[in-house]
Amino acid sequence: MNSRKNKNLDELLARFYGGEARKVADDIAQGERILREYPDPKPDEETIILLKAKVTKAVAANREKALRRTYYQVAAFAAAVIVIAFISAALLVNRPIESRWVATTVKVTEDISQNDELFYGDEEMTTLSAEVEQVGNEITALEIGVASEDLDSEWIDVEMGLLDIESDFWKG
Amino acid sequence: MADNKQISEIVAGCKDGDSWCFSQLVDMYSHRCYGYFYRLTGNRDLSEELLGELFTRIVEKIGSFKGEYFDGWLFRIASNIFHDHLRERQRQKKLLEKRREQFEEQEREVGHNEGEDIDKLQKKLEQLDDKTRELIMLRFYSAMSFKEIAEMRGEPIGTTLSKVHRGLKKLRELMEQEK
Repeated sequence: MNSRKNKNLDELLARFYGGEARKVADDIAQGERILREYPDPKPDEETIILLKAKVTKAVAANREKALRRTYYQVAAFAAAVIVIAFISAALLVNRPIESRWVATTVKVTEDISQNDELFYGDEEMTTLSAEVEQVGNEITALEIGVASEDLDSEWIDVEMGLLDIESDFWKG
Repeated sequence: MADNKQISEIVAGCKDGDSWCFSQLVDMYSHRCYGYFYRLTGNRDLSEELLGELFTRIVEKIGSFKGEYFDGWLFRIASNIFHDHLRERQRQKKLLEKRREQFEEQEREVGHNEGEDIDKLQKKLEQLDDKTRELIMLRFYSAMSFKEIAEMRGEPIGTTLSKVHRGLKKLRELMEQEK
């Protein structure tokens, strides 16, 4: 420990103090000797027991949080897969898409991403939710005729959105 | 004192969420970290509180440990906790400035515990300025080199060296005054 602490110390002192280096080294050594001469106060046994209990509790809470996070991530990705499969199938057979299914899936991803701050700072989760939501909105707009008259172009946008989601999903 | 291999194994266990390994960390580091907090605050209750905060934060942050010098990593967190405490104390002081009576009461609370036996070293350490005292304690308890401490504090190595030197020299003079 001391070797790490005093690594390159002589070299440093020579660089900054030149001829005074030896005296400065002595000042430092004597000052630290005083610190060693006075025994450290120690926490009592009860404090250590309470500390260990606190740490064990924090570990358990952390583990539970990680499990819930995994559970919600799997659920979110499953929701994304369902919406991709559903919309892709609908596009292939050129049938109208039931927007209530899309809306439900969008809501699932939103609920998950907002759950209990589990995904705070999780950019992938936020992106995925935003993409699912955007596609859902586009489909709804197409169905109720809010979209522009250029339907082909609108559908291409939707398909591009789906491809983004699919790509994000497989990236995990 | 545990060797590097032992520490690595225990830290690996902590990363896997093993409570027993965290318990080992408490046994290995609680005395040293308590000493560090006590020499900075001069207050046993507060030191216990900060020690609890330190280990809770270690549980939260152990995943971010990348295999560097563990003591350095741990004392970086300890130092951050102490600075958080200083900021909070500062904030409280500002809030209480307008109510002098309450302010004085607060000052008494953050001082020593009633009837606490303060050793001579602690009394003299308190005559050093906060920053110098913290640098000396960081070097003494974490055993980090001047270079590592300077990097951690984001200041030139010559500044760190000079502060520690002047602080230790002054401490020796203060200790010798009463001999």
